[in-house]
Amino acid sequence: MTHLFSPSLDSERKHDEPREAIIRFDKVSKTFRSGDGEHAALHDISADIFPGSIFGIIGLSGAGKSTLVRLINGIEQATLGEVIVEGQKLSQLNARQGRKLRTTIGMIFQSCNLMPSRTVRDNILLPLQDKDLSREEREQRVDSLLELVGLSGRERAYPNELSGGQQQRVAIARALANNPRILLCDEATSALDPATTTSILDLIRTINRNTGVTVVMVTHQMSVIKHVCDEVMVLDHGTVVEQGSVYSIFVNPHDALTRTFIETTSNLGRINDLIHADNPAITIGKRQRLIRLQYSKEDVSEPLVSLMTARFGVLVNILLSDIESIGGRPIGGLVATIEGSAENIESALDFLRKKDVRVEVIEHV
Amino acid sequence: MFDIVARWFPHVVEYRGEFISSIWETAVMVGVSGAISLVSSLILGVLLVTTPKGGLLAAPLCNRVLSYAINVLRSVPFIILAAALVPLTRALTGAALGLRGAIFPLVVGITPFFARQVEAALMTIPSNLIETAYSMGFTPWKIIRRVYLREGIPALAKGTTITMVSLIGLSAISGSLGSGGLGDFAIRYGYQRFMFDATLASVIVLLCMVGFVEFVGKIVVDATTRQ
Ligand SMILES: Nc1ncnc2c1ncn2[C@@H]1O[C@H](COP(=O)(O)OP(=O)(O)OP(=O)(O)O)[C@@H](O)[C@H]1O
Ligand SMILES: [Mg+2]
Repeated sequence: MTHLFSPSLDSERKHDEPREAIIRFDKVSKTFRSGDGEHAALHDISADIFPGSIFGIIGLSGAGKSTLVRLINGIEQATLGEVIVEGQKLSQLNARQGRKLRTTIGMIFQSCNLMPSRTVRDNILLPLQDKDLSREEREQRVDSLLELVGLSGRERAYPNELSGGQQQRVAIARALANNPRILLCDEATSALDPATTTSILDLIRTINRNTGVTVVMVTHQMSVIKHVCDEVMVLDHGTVVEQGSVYSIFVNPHDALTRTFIETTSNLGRINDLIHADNPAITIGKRQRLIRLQYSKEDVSEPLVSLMTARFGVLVNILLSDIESIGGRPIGGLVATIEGSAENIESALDFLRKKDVRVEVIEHV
Repeated sequence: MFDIVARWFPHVVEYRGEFISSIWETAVMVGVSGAISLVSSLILGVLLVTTPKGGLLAAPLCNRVLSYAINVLRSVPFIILAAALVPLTRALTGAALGLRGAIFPLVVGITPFFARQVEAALMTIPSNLIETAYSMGFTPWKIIRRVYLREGIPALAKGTTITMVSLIGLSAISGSLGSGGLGDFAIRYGYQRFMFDATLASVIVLLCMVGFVEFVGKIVVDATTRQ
């Protein structure tokens, strides 16, 4: 609902001069009208996507993610508000200008959408057909794209002769054929196994770093966001519940949905499974509490726990601990039981909070 | 060999000149009206698929009118349609009989059916392929050419085969209106003059033609299907 740009986020931006957004959603709403009435798919969305960044959109099924990216290249039109791409208000473009803009935006779909009757080469050639290029230039472009996506030698195969991951690579090559300034990925990896997903995401990130293409990445997996995105928007039932840099959102998620997403990627999320499974490792006695800690400076963890134990006379038993790197910066966390008098536990936790550790007491089920 | 043929098909042998030219006439009738109908059916079929609400060339009213007209034409039995078209045929081609007179009613008779076959074939193309082409900034015409007509080739080949078989049937019916061809031959000799072997020989040749069309159709479908 609100745009939770924490102050720390602004200081994280590397560029000091104000940047011009390449894609801007300005109070965008989208309502579908069908036979049996209206359906509000998106409500009052505002966001800036900056050139060269990888912008993630995450949400549950039906949240409106696909609708939102499809507004960017005009497959859908906003009912209210304005989508501005490279300074152009989409609602004010005529058909020809719209087509011209679309040639500069590549799109990758979950289902690849390769043309089944065309070979890999012809699929990649498709967006190049209207370009003023010589035959050799075209062929060279296809060859270099095939090499980029690691499919050299398969150019004469038909899509049905390729694996899902290979098909998605062809789709990436095709989306990049026109040297787009924007690459839209709608669940590009959802149908793939984890190893293939990682290789596709790495490929997209490499391309982003090398060409500066702005990437908008729709997903329902937080691991995808963690792996490649710089910024993220969390969508729930057509509204933005959280938005900011991926790091800031991992460190300090405000919305319950965001926390749920984060827990799916973190080892600490496993505590919920253990609780649900009534695992004997986490039977909690009278004088015990189950806590989850999260800290963003790796050096603080161990000393803090030791300090706390010594100073407040509490016992800490670590059940799970985790440290991971997001955008090259560490985030650590642990789940532990803490034992002592209620008073001592409270002061110990206060001590942690003062040290910028996020503390959560997990209520027992 | 010739003896056996002469024993079983005495009248066909007797009128072999006419028999052979009627085979040729049927081939020309089916070929020419099929080719003309193919072009008009592709246009109509594309319009049927692209003009509904939300389509590439959305024009819902046009779509409804077209669809209704096709249904009306399809519901008229061919023999009646051909008879009703005689004045128009004569005005257009200068003849109501013979090859020249036969082609126009055949085109009118088969096109509504063919257009529906084309429509059904083009509907098999997943909408996300159309969307993909749209997202590349293609014009509607380019989407039609590069996706509908190109990706639809296997399904179009199937529909064309079915249509050609029906067209061979229609060409034989139009024989009863004096169009020439194998239908005409079978009626004039086999039916009116009780030369049963003339009918039998016509049937065999028509079956061979159908078989040939289906054979070619299958080759095209098999060569282009990539699923
Ligand atoms: N063309 C349409 N007509 C009517 N309603 C639609 C249309 N497209 C989407 N919707 C509705 O809008 C909502 C958002 O759909 P959308 O496809 O954007 O969700 P999503 O977040 O991409 O979900 P998923 O993760 O399942 O792909 C859904 O409730 C859907 O039913
Ligand atoms: Mg979706």
